Amino acid sequence: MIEYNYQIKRNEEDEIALYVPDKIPKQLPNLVYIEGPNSSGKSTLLNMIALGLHGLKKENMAPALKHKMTSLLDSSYQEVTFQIRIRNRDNTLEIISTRDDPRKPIKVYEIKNGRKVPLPPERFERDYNLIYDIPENPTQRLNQLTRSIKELQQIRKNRVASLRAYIKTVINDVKHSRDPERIKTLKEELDTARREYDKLSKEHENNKNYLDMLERYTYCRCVLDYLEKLDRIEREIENLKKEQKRVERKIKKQTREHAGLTAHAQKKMNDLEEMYDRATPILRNLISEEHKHFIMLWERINFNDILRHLEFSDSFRKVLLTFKAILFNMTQDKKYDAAIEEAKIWKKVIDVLEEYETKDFVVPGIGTNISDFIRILREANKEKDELLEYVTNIDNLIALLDQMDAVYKTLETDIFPKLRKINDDPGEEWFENDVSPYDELKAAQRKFEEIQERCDFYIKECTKKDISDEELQTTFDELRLREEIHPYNSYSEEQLLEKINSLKETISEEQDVLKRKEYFLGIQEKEIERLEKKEPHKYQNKMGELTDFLRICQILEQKLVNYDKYITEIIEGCYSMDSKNSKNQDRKKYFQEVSAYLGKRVGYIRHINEEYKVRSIDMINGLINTEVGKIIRLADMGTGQSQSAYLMGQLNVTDNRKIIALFDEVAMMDKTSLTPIFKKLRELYAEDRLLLGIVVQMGQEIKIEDIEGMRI
Amino acid sequence: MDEDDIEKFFESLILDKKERKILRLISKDLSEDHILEALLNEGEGRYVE
Repeated sequence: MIEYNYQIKRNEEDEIALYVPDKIPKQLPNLVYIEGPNSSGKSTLLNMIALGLHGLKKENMAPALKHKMTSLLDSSYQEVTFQIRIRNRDNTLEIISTRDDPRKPIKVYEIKNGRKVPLPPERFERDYNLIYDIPENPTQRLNQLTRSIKELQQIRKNRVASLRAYIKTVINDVKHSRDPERIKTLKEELDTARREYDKLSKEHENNKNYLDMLERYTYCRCVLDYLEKLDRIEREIENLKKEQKRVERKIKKQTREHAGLTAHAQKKMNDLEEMYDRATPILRNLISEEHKHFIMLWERINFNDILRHLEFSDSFRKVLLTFKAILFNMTQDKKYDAAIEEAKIWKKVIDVLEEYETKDFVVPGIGTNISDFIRILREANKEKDELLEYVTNIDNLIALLDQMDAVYKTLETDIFPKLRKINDDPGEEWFENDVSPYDELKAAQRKFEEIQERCDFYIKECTKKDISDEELQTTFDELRLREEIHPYNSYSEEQLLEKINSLKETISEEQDVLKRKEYFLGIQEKEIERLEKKEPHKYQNKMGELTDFLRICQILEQKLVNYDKYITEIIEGCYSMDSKNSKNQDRKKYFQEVSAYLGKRVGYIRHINEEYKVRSIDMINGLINTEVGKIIRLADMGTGQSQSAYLMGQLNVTDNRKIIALFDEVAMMDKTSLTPIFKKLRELYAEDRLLLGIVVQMGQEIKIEDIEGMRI
Repeated sequence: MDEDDIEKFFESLILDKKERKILRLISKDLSEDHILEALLNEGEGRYVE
């Protein structure tokens, strides 16, 4: 019989709870089977008995049970006292274990044949065999282990993710911190940009000065040319007015041939005069001082007089041919040849390149696109281009003089002789032709007005440039001798205006570029100022390593995500045949390592009556591989039968010590499995080798059965 | 759960030394900045594979 009582005072924060045995009887037979629900006190009774019988000193006690016993002694939140008396069938042997004061040690005594002696742990171990066990269920334990792997993997995955995010933040911080290398690069870029800006700015100023000079030259020259022309027309008008007074209205009778020839002569003379007007201003500038008297002769030519008298002065052609010879000599200077040839070649190259100007190709060896390359070529050949234009203009002027000569010849050798002959020998068929000096006067006056208008325009432009009427000639003389202006002496008015417009466009573009560059310089300066104000980052020299570790974290995180999928497949048993036979080496390797890990963690496993060292546990196929080569199926483990065999093994001891057997949570075992245990307990009790046998099982209600009286 | 055993389990799966190093460091009770500092300081010289 066993008699017991205990009291547990537990501090549960909101109250001091008192626990005493109130469901299971305080007196029980030596062999007893107890069923009961949770918290009915079954396990507490077994823990208390084991604790009272030096259970904590027992070496091979399961750690989980030792933990339960130790927690009963934890005085930080509870006070435990108990009294236990175990007597054998004939009352010749009694063990008493008491703890009346929670602050004092447990007292254990043995009363044998009426003699009471203390029973310390060593003596108890010598004379008694305390068997306190919970039959193991390895399947449950494996499930716990695999779930632990999942949890630990997830913890690592989350930490790697946090580390990755942190490294990313640090990289961002480093990027936004003071970076001496970046500042150095920006300063170098700024210096280069400033030099470019200064260079362009200087070029811009030069171009503006150049434009101003060219404008002053052009406007002065045009005013002087037009004043000259106005003077000539004015003289002509005076002549016409005089003639008008002399012959108020003259009816001229002409033959049809005479009228045709006169009209033809007029047309040719108009052409000649137009060419003369174009050639004269250029000749005036190109012809040197030593030949100035030819210009004076040339300027005295009066086309109305020629037409009126039907003959040219002797000097006309002579001067014209002289000019041609002078101009020809001007282009024969050998020093121009090489430069002109080069200018012609580059002009052809530029013409070809201009077809592809919008293409964004980089010119090999130059490193710029086609558009910039054209600009470089133009800039490098600027002087040669001007020379080429100068020579071309002289060639054009010679061609113009040739045309004038041709017209002269037509008039002088063909039209004028015919007209003179008709005038000398008037025919019969005359008709009236109204040719009035009044009409000629009107035409001359219209021409005067037109030229006056143009002249006024240039006078205004001169005024804008602060050139007074008195200064016109001196300013012009001074400018035309300048080397930079020299090529423009061959230019016509239109060419000069075109050049001025082109220069204005260039200057305007330069202004835009300068504004953009100025804006960029401002931004660059502010950026450097901003970066210099920043504090340097301690990892600013570790960007390469930071980026590397970020990449490694990303790889590692992905691996852990995959491992999580694999372990979930194992836990949930949802791996498909595909994945089972997968060629995915990563997954295969993972399953192998999990098997090895589980084998190591489980260590040894009992099967039937033997204990095996485990090599690996294949959770996918449910196999335990042992070191000795035996393969045990998980399905065969943890059954009531195997647990029964295990407990039988515990009871099958050969020493003479008295057994005290306490079996908890035999949940997997049914009556059939338990019967051999009960029989063995009865047998041992009958042989007086067992003092106490308690088997505890989970049940809906409290049920106490004396094993001795059981029908088994 | 024995930490050594789980560390060995991960090392059998992850062969890259830098990845292993990260795993070892994160299993300790260190803050991210300490982990990064440890990684970067070891990164010079002997840590490079």
